[in-house]
Amino acid sequence: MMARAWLWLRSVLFRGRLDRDMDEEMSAHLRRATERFEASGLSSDAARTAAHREFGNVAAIKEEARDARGGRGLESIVADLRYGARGLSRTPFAALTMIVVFALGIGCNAALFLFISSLVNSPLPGMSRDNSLVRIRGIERRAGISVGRSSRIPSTATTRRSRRCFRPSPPGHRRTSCSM
Amino acid sequence: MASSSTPLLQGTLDLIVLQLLHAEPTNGYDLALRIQNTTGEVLAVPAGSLYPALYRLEQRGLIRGAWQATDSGRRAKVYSLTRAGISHLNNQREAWHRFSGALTAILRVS
Repeated sequence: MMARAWLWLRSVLFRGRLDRDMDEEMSAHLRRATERFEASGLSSDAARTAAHREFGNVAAIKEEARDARGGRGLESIVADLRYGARGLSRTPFAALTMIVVFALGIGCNAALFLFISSLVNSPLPGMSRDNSLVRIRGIERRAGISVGRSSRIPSTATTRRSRRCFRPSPPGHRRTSCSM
Repeated sequence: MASSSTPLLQGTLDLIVLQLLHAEPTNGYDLALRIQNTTGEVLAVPAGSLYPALYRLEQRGLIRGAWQATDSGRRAKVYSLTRAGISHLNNQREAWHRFSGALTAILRVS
């Protein structure tokens, strides 16, 4: 696992060196193929052409080999970020406006979320969180399917009669359901 | 190297590369020639398939490439199997024997 992670990191960090290695490896392949064709009687030009024909499209093969080496996802993210940064630096006022609009939008959302969250989820000011308080929510089973419904007054009376559900829970334990 | 006379079955290139490198560590060019010579020129793997396969196997930690000086005084990247590569090869070889045995049994059905 660590070895795989290192290989992936290597393909990202040492991309230049790995590319040079790949160039050298493929050039060596082409050179030896050319020598083989020359030895079979072809002129050096014809041998070079034959070697390239046999090898295939060098640029496309390099591209495929880079894909096989991995780390392309991160490379393309970095390239996209650079492209974006260059675009923004060309139009600084538009970039500034966008940043301010985004900052205001995110700030408003965060403030609203905090407000609603403290209103709904936290106890009212001056009240401590009391474990003996429970939220009563009715679930009705119709033909084997559970259907949520809000509690009505009569069922609240039934709930009051059933004291079994309202024994204090042990510390750290939260009762999630109780049938009556 | 002539163009491939028989197309490779999907997924067999890795097995071929691992087996030949297990027999003898070598560089990409000699490996391509050896595939062709060993199979009596029935199989020929073009560079466009061989190098991506080598890099993929290296990336998966199954083979390791190291630059070595050759007899002609040049450098060549020689690939050899790692321990993970040997165990992967054994598994793949076993799977291939099972698969080819089963396929042969089917082809005998008349």
